[in-house]
Amino acid sequence: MKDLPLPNLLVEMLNSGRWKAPDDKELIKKIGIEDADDLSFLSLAGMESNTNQLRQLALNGYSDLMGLCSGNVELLPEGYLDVTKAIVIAATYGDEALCLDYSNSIEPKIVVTNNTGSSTRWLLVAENFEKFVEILGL
Amino acid sequence: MKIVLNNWICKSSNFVSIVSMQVLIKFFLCLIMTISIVMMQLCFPANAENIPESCISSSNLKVTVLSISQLGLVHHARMHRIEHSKHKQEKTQSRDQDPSSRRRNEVTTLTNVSPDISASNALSEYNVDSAFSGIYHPPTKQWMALASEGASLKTAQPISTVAQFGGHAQVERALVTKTGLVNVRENVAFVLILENANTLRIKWNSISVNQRNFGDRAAPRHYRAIIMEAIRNETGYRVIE
Repeated sequence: MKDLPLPNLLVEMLNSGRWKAPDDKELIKKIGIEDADDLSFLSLAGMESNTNQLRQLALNGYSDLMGLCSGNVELLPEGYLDVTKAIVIAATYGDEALCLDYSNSIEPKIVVTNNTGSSTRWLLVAENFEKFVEILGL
Repeated sequence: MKIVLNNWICKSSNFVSIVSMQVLIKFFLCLIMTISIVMMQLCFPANAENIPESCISSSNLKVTVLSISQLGLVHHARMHRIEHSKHKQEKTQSRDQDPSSRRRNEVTTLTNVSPDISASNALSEYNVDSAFSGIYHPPTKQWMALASEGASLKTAQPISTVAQFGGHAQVERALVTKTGLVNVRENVAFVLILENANTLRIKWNSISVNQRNFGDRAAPRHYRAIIMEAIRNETGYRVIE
């Protein structure tokens, strides 16, 4: 991804075919994904197209609905995701997603969509990618 | 007195000759214009309704000059249209010469709005588990679903798909473009998953459309049976939840 380096472990998993959703759907639900059956762990091309779409949504009036900011913010509101510093790594057909969030450092956190009724915000799943792999037992 | 009278007669005759010259010039201009118009109409009969009547009947010089430029524009527009038409024809021909690429684009769209290929024919080309993000517009009963990320053809030919995350927003734009819908606030989003050769599973969650329009990621229950029936009618496939 342009300007945002993928974690080494993720690159390794992509190359070795280990990057796929776990069979245990309960684990997926535990990290906050409701449509666990639909969750796809994206290929590199899928990450790119879904990240592009994430950025388009922020530009096309979906910011408040989906908790998105498009850079140029001094202080990111709580629960919002800066789309210029994020990569979508997994998604469902119902607009849930897991993202790498680079807003605080080069080592990304993993965040997930969280429905709060009328809108969606982003919650922390893991402080880093290694921890995320551990949580899901990948 | 005689001198004054002579001067007056002289001026008058000058005036008359000037007026005569002006009338003559206007007459010739009108004649040229009329001939031009007749020629234009003979050459481009389809544009006859675009040529203002003032070009033919008015003897006013300003209107005539304006009309000349208008005629130029009409001619230019006509030529542009011919060029555009040629270009379009060439594009269509080249597309027709590559039926595989044409088919690949058509099969990615399931819709009841003037489909290029029937939804059932399109679906028959997909592998099981292929998914389609869809939008239904209740007031007009129009719907469209586009192949979503991960959908694949039996032939393994590559296809363009919408993203999984936010794909409904992309489908909504496509439906608006195709139908000219103005109010998207009544749209209902759904997902179709090809279960087997004659069954589609439908799911109802979407943030970008359902949560925006109804305050809930899930589509309102009272629309579900109507949408399932519309898809069943168009595809001929069994639709299950």
